[in-house]
Amino acid sequence: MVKILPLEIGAVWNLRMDRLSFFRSHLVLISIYYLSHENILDLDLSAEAVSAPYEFISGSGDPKRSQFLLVQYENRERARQALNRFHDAYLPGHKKEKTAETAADSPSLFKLEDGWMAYKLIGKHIAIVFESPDPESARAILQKNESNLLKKGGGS
Amino acid sequence: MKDKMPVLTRRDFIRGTIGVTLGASVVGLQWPRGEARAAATSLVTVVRDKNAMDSAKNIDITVLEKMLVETLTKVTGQKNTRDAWLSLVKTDDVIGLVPTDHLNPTHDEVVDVVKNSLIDAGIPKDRIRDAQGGPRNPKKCDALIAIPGLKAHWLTGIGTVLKNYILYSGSPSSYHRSNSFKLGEIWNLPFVKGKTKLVLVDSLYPLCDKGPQPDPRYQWNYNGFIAGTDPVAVETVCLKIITEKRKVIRGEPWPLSPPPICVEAADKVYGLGTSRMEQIQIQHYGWEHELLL
Repeated sequence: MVKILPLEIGAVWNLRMDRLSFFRSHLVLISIYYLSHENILDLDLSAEAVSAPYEFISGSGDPKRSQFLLVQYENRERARQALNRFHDAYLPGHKKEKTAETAADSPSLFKLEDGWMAYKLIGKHIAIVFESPDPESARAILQKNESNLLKKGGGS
Repeated sequence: MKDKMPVLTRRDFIRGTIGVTLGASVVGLQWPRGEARAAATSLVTVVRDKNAMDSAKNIDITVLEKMLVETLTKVTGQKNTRDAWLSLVKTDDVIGLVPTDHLNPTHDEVVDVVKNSLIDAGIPKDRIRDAQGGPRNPKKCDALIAIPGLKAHWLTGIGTVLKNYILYSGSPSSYHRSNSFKLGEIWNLPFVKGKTKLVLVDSLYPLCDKGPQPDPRYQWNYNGFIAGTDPVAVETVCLKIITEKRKVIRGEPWPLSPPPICVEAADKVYGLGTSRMEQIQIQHYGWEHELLL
């Protein structure tokens, strides 16, 4: 899964290789990137996940950071259920723009307290971007990763 | 229908609404307790000495004794150690010392220095006991001196002051993960409430990640005592030090994960003290190097 991650996105976002993490358990996830104490992504030993921060070096000020998360489940149904659970727990005040079943084409985007968040169901995978400074960045990070995933046959 | 606990997420923590989210579900509508205390200020002292512990982790007892004198007099405003202790406890109190007893334990030397200082202040030796452990221990004490070690904790974010009484609950596993926010309720148990006269954090050799198990990559000589009578304020200052050290190690912000939700909840839900830095007066004495405050 780590090989799927693009090192650069749009020549402005760089993957922080030194902050890359592979995990299967939500107990590991909470020590890498806290989402919840609960297992809101339905992780277990049958899942594989990577946490990958992308950094935007603007040349002035602090670098911007977006957190990308890719989770692979046993099958598409498990992934769909997990995405629904994630949405209900993490975005309780937000209507599902699309249902997980129909989120095939474009990602769902949300403006949250710490920036823009986007998610997408890609076959048996869930891809999520957190803390993006704008919707374009969130979309770009998600789409480039999706493109790599599909190229390597991971979309089914 | 049984009430379900809300699912706490990163968003609650970012919004600073842990107390609101949990307050109603845990203690009904008692949320304004924290607000009533808004004008109060809590004093936390940070006393450090470069020579308290060397790089081989040898502790200089004489230096610790001086640090304790400085701590006690500054926390209480008294002129000497005896008056300081007697402003906190009575000579006929049964006094329980509560160190962290395993996994980065409080240094024995620190506990000994505190014990000897109490004896020097006129407290009979047989009225001073180790009160760490199950709920029977605090029940036998009139006063408690919390002496935890400063450390991060992989289940609760920070595992220092509030977590130091977890065994008093009789059910420590009930206070891990998302339930760690409830650690403050232990301090309000009838046989614990109001007994803690001083919180003295052993910060000679703290741990800022991967706790409670020791990991030398994240431990360093801070050589300090952090103390006060407000447990939440002391924990908040400890949190600040750990957070700043993590930033120094990585060269960029490295937030504690999971976030230490127990600290804000101890303030806003359980009313044990303040977690707001603007309400904490920090006085530091001694070694200035990498103070992290």
